[in-house]
Amino acid sequence: MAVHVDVAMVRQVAKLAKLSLTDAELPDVARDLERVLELVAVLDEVDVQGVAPLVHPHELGLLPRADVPKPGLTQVQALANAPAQEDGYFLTPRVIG
Amino acid sequence: MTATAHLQACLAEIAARDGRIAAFLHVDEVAALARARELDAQTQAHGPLHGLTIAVKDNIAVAGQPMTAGSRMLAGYAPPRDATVVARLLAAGAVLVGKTNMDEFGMGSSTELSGFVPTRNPLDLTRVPGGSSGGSAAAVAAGMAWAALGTDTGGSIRQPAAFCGLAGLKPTYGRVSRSGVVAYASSLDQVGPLARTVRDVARVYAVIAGRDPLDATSVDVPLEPVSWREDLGGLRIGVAREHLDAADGLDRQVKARIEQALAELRARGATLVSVSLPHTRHAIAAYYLVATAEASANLSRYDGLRYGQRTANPPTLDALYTHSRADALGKEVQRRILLGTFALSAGFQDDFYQKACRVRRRIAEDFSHAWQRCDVLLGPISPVAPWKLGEKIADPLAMYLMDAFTVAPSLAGVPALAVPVGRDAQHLPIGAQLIGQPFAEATLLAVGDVLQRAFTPEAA
Repeated sequence: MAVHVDVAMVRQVAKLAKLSLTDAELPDVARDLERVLELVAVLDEVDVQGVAPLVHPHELGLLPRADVPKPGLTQVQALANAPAQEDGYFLTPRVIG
Repeated sequence: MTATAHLQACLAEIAARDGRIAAFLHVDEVAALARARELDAQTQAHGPLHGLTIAVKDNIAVAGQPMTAGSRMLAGYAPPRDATVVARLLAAGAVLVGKTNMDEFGMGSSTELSGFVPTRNPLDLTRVPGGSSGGSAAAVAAGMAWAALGTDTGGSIRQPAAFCGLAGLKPTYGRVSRSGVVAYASSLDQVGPLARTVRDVARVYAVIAGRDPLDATSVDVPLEPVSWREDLGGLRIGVAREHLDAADGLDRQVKARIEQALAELRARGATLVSVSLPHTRHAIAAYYLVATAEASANLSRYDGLRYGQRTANPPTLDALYTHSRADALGKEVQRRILLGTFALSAGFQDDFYQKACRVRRRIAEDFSHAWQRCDVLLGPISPVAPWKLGEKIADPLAMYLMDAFTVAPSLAGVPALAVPVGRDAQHLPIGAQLIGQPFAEATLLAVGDVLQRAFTPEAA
């Protein structure tokens, strides 16, 4: 399926992807995305009428482990890689005025 | 040879050449030497890999060593524990040399897209080592480690193995635990070994494979021991016309090496069977939609909050997310996140992600049909020999097309093995790809060993 990708679409996709793009970057990204979509248009050749999507090689399902409690990371370990923390919490900017 | 002497030889190579090759992102000499001395002091062998040096791709966690997955996003990250595969290597007596360079989060085919430094091919420093496990391949090819672990989502073990003249195995999906491995595309990612010989690959594979309760996608299928063979009587090797005579963009010299490989296998008793994999030309498109869709979800964890880079003084929570990600993720990673987000977005999901998954089933069926006529398939890995650094960097799509032969087995979840089959006229290494039936790694390795020894008799 051929899709024309415009700047507004890229802005919306970037918003969903949580990536801040500058206005100057948008036209290049749009062109890039449109080129990839031209490449994937080859899929239109395949007759997939009635074919169920294969989303995972193991269709038999996953093998969960036994539900037995065991020690995980300590609070110190869990916070060790946080770029900002305070009093044992991950620190975010203020979210409520 | 003692573990210490073996390690020291590797460290000497690293000191002499890695400033130029850049196979490693991190080497902890002190810890590695302490480990080797500890093994040498033991009176009994610690395990099947006693004293053997192994390099680990930097998207696989080793406790006490930094892990970046080739991304500036994870600069300074310290994993709290070993990946299951690393724990198994250590239990088997291996000495870990260090963490190897890679395309950022595994997204690339040349290791030029590392967030830190491009890796060079030790066999020709003007050329790429392949990717994304290019650092692992370069480390082994340069004698800096006996073997290495890589990860393969769409060819990232097989193609660098081929480019550096090595053997490399992408196991069946579910064979090897991914617990402690940085996720790229979870329905495709597998961990596997690279080494000089198929037999060495088999030794590492036997240690890392098997069910792990920490990875719900790892399966409980018994591991068959490999029966090494001298002849291939009774074995049917499938040759897909889409991999050879009807292959798009296949270099003449690569084709000649694959034909030579087929002739060698026939000379050793195998029967060649012509088959068709009709959806080969659709595999790249299906792969890039599936892999990027999954990546867009997996990489949402890099939020600047719990680990990874955080933008300075974000005014809002949303700015913390969007600026941290835009600042620290590379352009190719952002490109793939955007494509994957688009493919999953409302209004486009049916035409892109869902469509790709339907074609993915067609691709898997191509292989099921082939298995009715043959035991393994043989074809190319890369359509061309290793290219020059910079040659394909400007056009991401041209780079994607280099994965044409490796992505289909990944989508189908079947195992595939890179085997070196000689050099081209410029003396660049060429690899062949053996593709096997699900969980039939033992057959794949046995055939690969015969094939490698046909070209290099000393590779036993």
